[in-house]
Amino acid sequence: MGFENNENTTVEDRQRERFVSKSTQVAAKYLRRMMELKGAPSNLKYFTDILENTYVRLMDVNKEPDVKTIGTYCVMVPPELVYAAGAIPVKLCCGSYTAYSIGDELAPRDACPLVKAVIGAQAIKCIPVYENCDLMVVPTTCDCKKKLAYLLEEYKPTMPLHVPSSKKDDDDLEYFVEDLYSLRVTLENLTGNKITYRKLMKSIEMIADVQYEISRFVEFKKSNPSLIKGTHAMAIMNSVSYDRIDRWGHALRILNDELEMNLRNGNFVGKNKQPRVMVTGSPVVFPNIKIPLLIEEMGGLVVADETCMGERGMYDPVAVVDKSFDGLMRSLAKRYILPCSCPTFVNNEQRIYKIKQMIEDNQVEGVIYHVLRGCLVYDYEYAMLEEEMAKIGIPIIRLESDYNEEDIEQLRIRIEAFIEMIKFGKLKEENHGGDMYA
Amino acid sequence: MKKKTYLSITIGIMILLLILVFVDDRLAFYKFDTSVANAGFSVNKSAKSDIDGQILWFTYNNGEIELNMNMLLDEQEVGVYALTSGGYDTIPVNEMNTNEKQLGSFVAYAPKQSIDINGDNANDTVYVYAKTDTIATQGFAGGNMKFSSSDIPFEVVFSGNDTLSLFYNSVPLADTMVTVNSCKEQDKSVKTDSNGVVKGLSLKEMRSGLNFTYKGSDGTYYVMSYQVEANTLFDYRYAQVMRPILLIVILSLCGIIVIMIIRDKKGIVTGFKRFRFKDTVASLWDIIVGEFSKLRDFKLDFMSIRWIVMILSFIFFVYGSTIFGGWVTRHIEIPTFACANTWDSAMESSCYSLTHLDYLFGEHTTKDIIIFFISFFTFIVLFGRVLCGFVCPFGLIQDFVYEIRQIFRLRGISFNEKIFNILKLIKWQLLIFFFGAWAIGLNFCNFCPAIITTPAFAGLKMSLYVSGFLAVAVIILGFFKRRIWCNVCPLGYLIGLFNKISLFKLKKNCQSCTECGACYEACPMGIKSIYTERNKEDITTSDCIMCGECVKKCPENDAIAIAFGKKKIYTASRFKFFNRKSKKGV
Repeated sequence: MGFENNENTTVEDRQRERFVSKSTQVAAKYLRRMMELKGAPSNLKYFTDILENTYVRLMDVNKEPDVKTIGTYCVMVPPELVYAAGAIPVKLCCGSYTAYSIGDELAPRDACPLVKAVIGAQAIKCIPVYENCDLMVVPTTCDCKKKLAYLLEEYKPTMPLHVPSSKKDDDDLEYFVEDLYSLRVTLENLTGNKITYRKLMKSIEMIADVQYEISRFVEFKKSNPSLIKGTHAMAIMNSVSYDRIDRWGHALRILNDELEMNLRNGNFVGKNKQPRVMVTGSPVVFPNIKIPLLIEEMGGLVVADETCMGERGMYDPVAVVDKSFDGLMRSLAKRYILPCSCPTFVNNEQRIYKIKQMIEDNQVEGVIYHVLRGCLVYDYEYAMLEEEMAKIGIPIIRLESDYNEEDIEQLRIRIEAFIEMIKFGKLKEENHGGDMYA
Repeated sequence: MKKKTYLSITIGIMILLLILVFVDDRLAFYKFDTSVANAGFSVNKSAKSDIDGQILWFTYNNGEIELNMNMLLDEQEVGVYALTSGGYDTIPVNEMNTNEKQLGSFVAYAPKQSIDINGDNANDTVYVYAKTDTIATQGFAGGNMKFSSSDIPFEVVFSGNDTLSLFYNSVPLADTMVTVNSCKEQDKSVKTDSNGVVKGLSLKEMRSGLNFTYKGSDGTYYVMSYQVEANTLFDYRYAQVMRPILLIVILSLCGIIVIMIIRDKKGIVTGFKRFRFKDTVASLWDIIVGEFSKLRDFKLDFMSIRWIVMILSFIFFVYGSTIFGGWVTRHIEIPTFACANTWDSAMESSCYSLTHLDYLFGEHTTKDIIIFFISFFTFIVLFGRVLCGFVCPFGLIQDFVYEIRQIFRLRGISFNEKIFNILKLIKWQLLIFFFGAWAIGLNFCNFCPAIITTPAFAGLKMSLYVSGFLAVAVIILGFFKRRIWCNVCPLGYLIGLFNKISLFKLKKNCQSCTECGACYEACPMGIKSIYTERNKEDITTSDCIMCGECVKKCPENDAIAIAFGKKKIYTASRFKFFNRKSKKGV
């Protein structure tokens, strides 16, 4: 028996070695391709370093050793509570192709690649960000995430956070407030720190400071011609998952200041005629950034990012109304449920309005709708969005992709065609005096 | 165990106090019947009046009644008639003292005088009287403090804020010229109307005493100096008048503590996790830091202007006519719950006329009624429910109570749409009661919790009746839920029903709204449609009090705005939300 065990370990070890070498290679490749894109701001390095540390050097989050790490998924787990408990949250929604191939065997065939990648990353037990987590908090959003909570229990203490499926009724929200109180107890028991009004208020203010910087960043992204490439912006927003938020916010401030200087000096990264594209739909998680990369390599510009790993996750601030502990918890509950345009909610028309507003603000000329294979909820909303986009005359294309590089050529052709179409439409517009479809 | 003791002690005190204030008139709560015996009486034998020809008159000295007489008068012959429930007592002045039986109305009489009063160098026969009413006993009822005696042929009877009725031999002195001397104007000739009523006297004149001279048909002169008990501010008497407010504060405090303890013991709501957590009260350090940072961040924006306007309007409605020297608007009445019974208000509230429709249509001329309605609708069109958010003194008190809870970081009671729907029902019922109370023989003012605001602060003694208890309930609930009364206020709702014609509007940009619900959470009126509305630009509802909280808490640029006509005066902005100085990040 002992011999068998030994052999098993070596098999697992070999698998791990293969995993490490392959996954780091992929991550390094995408980082390199990203940096090869022209016009990276000089202060981008801080953010790409975070991604590099996490995915290439396989390092843990930069933190004091006794600080507990809380793994969170989706965008409904309030980091404010985690910071108030003296712990640090990491967003573990995964984009690794290698982890996906491992998870492929552990989850059903039709499960979405993101969840498969998470399970794979957890099962391989050699990514420190996953490995050193003390608690997993999984919001029960889509079916895959629900079952993810079950599968993760095998590896880590896991707490499902019951997200209401509808937000029309005030009562739905009441239950979420209750759930946040449960989360509070869990976090307090785990860290041994009491979450008090003062601590919670402090962490809300800390995150509000960062959100102010994000708002500035969002304002810069509206600039036409562009100040920053969308792929870089996505990398920045991805990197917040693996860093202390105040430190990250400080780095973002420096980057914002650089962008402000660039704006004053007229150092733009995009030209006036480059097609301005919005990416929406299923999350784009590093290193699965092939779609924004392809768009920008094909000469387009990703000027707006309406995915939950983009600015959307951090964009909405907590509006503290009632200055009591309960008031803070209610504000948190409202902030993490009501403005969230996640398609897992029964009625989600607000996403259409949000996209329309972004199209107006960022002068978007085309929308790329990203659907991960198996991500049904986003796929459901495509028809509705297509209809709305037809009304305002914005071209939209649905791109289905998986966590592998097999479909990359197919994607390239479709993206190229889409971008050419926008360019052609623009040309026509110029020639025909405004009417795009004349 | 310890908490249980606290709970029973607090509930005990509260119940005891509630019974006491109802039963014991000395507590001046349910009925402000401080006995006249407490007032005291003194005589000033060689006083000098500011008013020409006044030789016998009353004044007040810290609530004590003072009879002043000119040196010409012989003290031995001067006496006082004191009104009692069965008639009146006649008391010589040196034996005079106030006692329990008296109702608080006194007439001093002097022997028949023979002096030249009309300046024709011939002595006339003059009967001199002085009258006073202490408001201690009569609440604000007035009107019934009439002697109707042959001993006092010429009598002046107080019958309202600026109204006096004149009687000659117990018959109203209709359409007659009388001479009035006051501190303001000497020898003013005034004509009484068909009911013997003199109107249009300024508050300052009323307060400082009036000297009426009437020449009878036989050539005899009757002089009566009239003095109503004046409201004095910030003295011992004022402290006495403020007793009901003190009781309300004590009762509310007990109620708040009871609710907090019961809630901590999850007695009323179980099954909710949040009630298993104790209320954490802020430490002193938190409070100091919090208040200091509030001062540091002070900016003259919509919100601070709202607070300043609220405080100024409170002063305007409580001390206004004292500050502006007795100036009070007539028939131009503002629809806000600034109690119409306050003498010192610079502008009357239309709530009194609206709740007493019989009084409005029965005792006003058509012209007055037209002026009333024109002013009513002018205020509605110009301001609408801005009056609730900015002007209403009762709103200020509720906001103040809410702010106290904020300072101590205590958990509130959050209402959801179910409760707001119930409140809507209550609001309609109250609106019917508001207009119809007089028809079933009730007086809305006796139930109106807003009555606690202005009269007491203005130094007016007033019985609270049911209002006192309702006010306690409103303050306790208002502590936990902001502006609870405004949610059911009939007058505010009445104004709100006209929101379509009001110039102040709440506007929304339906596209840029992210439905984050911060506005709904901030809204003291619980208007859910602010964040759910996706079709119309004008989202003003009959509930909106234009307090601007939703705009303040809105993190999206231009998503909500308060507009006057077409001009947006307060617009939401992301950078304002983050409390940053720069307007744009770019």
